[in-house]
Amino acid sequence: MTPALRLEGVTKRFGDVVAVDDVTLDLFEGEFLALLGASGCGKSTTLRLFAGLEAATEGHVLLGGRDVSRDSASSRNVALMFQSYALYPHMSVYQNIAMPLRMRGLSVPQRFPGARMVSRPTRTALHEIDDKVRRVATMLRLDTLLSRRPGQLSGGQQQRVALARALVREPSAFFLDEPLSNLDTQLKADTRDEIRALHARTGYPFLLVTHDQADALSMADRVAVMIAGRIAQIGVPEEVFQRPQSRAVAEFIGLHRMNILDRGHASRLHQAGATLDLGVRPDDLIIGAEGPIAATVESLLYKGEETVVLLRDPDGFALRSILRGGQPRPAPGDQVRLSADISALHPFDRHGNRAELPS
Amino acid sequence: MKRLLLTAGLVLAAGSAAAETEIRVHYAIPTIWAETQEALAEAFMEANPDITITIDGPAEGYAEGVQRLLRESVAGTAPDVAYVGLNRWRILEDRGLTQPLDGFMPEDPAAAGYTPALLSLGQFEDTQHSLGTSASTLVMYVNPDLVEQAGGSMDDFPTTFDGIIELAAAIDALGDTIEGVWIHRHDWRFQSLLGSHGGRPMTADESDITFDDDAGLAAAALYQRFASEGGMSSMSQDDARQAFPAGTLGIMFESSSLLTRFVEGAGDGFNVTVRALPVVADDPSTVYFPTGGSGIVLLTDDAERQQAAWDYIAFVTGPEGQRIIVENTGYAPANSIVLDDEAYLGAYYAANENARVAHSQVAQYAGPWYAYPGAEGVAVTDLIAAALVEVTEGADVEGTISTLADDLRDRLDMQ
Amino acid sequence: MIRRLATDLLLAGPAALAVVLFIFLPVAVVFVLAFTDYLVGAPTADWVGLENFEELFGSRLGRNALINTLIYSAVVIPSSVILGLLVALGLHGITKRMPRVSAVLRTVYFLPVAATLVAMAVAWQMLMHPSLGLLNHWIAALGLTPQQWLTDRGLVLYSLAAIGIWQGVGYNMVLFLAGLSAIQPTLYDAATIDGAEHGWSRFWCVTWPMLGPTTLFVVIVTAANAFRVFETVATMTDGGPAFASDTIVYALYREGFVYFKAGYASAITVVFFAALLLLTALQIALVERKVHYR
Repeated sequence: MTPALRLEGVTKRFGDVVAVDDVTLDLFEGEFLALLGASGCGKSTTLRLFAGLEAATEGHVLLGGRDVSRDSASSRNVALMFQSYALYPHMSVYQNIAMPLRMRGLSVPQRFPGARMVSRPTRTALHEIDDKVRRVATMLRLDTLLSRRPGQLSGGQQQRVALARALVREPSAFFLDEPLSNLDTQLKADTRDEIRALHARTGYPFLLVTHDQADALSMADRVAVMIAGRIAQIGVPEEVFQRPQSRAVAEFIGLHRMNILDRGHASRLHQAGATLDLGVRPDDLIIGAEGPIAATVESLLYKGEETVVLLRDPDGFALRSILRGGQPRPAPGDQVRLSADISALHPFDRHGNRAELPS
Repeated sequence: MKRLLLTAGLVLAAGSAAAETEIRVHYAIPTIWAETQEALAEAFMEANPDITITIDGPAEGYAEGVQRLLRESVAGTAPDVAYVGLNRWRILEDRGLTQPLDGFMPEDPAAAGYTPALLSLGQFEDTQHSLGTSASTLVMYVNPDLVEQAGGSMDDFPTTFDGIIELAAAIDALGDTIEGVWIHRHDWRFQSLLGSHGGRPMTADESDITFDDDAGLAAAALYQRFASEGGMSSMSQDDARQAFPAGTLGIMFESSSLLTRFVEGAGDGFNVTVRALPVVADDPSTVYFPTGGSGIVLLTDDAERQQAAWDYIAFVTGPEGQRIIVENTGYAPANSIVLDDEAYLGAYYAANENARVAHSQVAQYAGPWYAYPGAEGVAVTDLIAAALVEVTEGADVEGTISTLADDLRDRLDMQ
Repeated sequence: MIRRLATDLLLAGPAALAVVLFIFLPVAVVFVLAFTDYLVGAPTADWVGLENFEELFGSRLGRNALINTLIYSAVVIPSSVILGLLVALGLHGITKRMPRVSAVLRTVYFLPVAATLVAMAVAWQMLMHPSLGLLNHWIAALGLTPQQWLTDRGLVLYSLAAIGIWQGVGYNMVLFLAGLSAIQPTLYDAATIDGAEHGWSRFWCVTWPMLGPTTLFVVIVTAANAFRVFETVATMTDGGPAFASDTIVYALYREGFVYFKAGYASAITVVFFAALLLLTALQIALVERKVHYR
């Protein structure tokens, strides 16, 4: 299958700084891809390379198999929703939404005010634009706000305007740059659902750029983890979470940082620990009376649904474990034993790549 | 005992009061006058140890000076005596600020060097309001190099306006950046040309304008001829005052007070030469040149201070004070004794031929610089200047000047 | 409570008193004088009603000063605003690639603002000197006719306007640069995505509307500066030749401080004050309502 958009061996340098390092990435027709990474990892630059806001230093950008590396952003016909929304403050909501249609649908003289009076084609074109704007506005519950200025809207409403402006034309792909980071928790959840629904309804290829793994894992069909300008791993969310292909990905993914026991030290958990580093997620590190590792409880962080237990083993290694619901909680200073199921272990070799446990 | 102390105190107080009558003096244009004023005050105090002269911070120019005097008189902080422009003391007189000097004048003014011509500089309606302290009239500054390049000669330099215009045209033809002649389009210059024709700007009682007579039309016509025949450009005063010392202007009609400045400005470039203004009128007794420069006025109305102030005025207008002024500023003196008695300035004139030419013109033809009366008195001088601009640019002389005269009559309430 | 009131009065009182004494009172005096024929230093004055205002709007000289000021403003305002904008756009554009050059040029353009105008006027006077000035030397070198820049009645106002523009461009440039750097870069990205990819359409879609508040401020400030042109007139032409460069503030100075007609000068001041007040009101009304995009 030909991807809708493809970066092929793309490198982007700013002076001496390599922002994106030899990245090959496909965005397939109809899929929802999340590009996940810490700030400064190059994910925003990758998005800008896709969109045509930056030109690649090396490599190619392909649109439906065609090389568009040197083509302008608007000829790639991608839609982009900015983190800051980037609404035109001097235009009404209606004019903001109509803007992309006017810019590509009308010639310069047709854009002059009053052009509708003199030319019939202009009238027809404006009529079509009006239809589309009202349709997308209704879809996003903006129909009563069309005459307002962005400055008069709430954050959530502004975001819907930004969505509407991106969706009003039929884009070849839809990019969202950190769409949820400016919203409070409740609105964030609602918007997540809304974007999912939008993707389902429109069927455009979506590319979500985010630093928030919960967003990426919950919304995307596939997640690409980006570390230091490279794609470290790409796959469905479960795979990325359950089988991180490298120690770096393993440490990045997960709400709570994975415990990694260095080789040698790790042999207490499994004999392979003699030659491999072993990772175990805090969720999978079980506190009990029995277990291969002895530890002292240092402190507890109560977080409502869960409690994070910070522990230290006799060699001085810090470990953490999660307790849920009604599980009995130890007190700081208690001596406990820790254990983990073999299936919950993530082995990594000397280079930080995933290894297999000898069965 | 107590009474004795008191008496001693009174005696002391009286003594110190007599020893320290303080006279405040105002002057303007420090660039010309600062050192001269110091020298005058010093010489006066040496001769009169019981009077202290305090010099106020000077005003930038005569216009600002009069402004300040008006403000200070409103505030009650006016100085005791003031040097003001000879065309400006009337502003102070008009507001009743000047004290008449007649009561202080010597029995025989002429014997003290105050000739009638010089006294006229400070008289209005038979009252002496001011005495001249320095004088200047309009003279011609000539660049001899340009005159010779144009085929003329300083030895038979023209003494008529026709001759001067002809020579100016020849100089003007020397090159694009060379100008032949220049005269400022300005009330005082116009009054000078008018006086050369024997005319007066107003009747003696100042009840009517008279410069729209033949003399006035001839004087205005000269402006037009300078432009049309002599090639005079519309340079501003500042431009011309740069151009002449720079050697690009052949003949410049200017105040004799600028001599020192021009000589310094020209440096080794050329030998600045002064020539007297041509006299047109058939009867030389009608000719006068309005005299610029400064006069001194008495402002204090305190009798005791007035006497001390008069002592100062008498000193600076007397031969000794005048000698100091002439030697320091290059202005012509306003006291005939220094001109007649070689003992005062003989050596100075021997070394300054140009000054002799200029100063003898003052002595011969000095006359008042008419200030127009009333609230619009200063304003109308700008109208005169504007009319002269129009005339040089080709406007009909008779029409322009008679319209101007009518306008002035109207504004000055002369009808 | 009373102690606090006393403290407040003690803090605000002296400044308020100074404002009343040194600003409101003199303004009130000027307003009263405007209806009299008071001469500086004169012992008395008569009430003349609106005569001074009739003189300003009815006399040849009064109208001449008003018209000259309007012509001067009509030349200076659009030119210095547009040039200031162009310079700012150019400098903003090269800042990233050539920061040194941009900084130097910025200083050069700003120099006229920082320098004393009176001193600069003297320099201009030398430059525009009819026979010694560089300007006429260059013009002659190009084979054109040298001009009497400051003494030709038809030209002098435009020569002064050129100096006014020269002075205004730097200041306007600084304001526009500040305005430009405040524009969110993502707005340009958004415009690019929406199809405004080239210089002009980006300018019309983003730059120009986003500079709206700046532009209005610049226009108002430039207008206020143009209306009160004085230093160049006073130092270079004295309103001449023949009142050809007489402007309203110079007329104010001339009537009040040279002719001593304090009453008439006060009337001019009142009219000028009213014009500036109108301009300020316009600024407040427009800026607050229209261009802050609320």
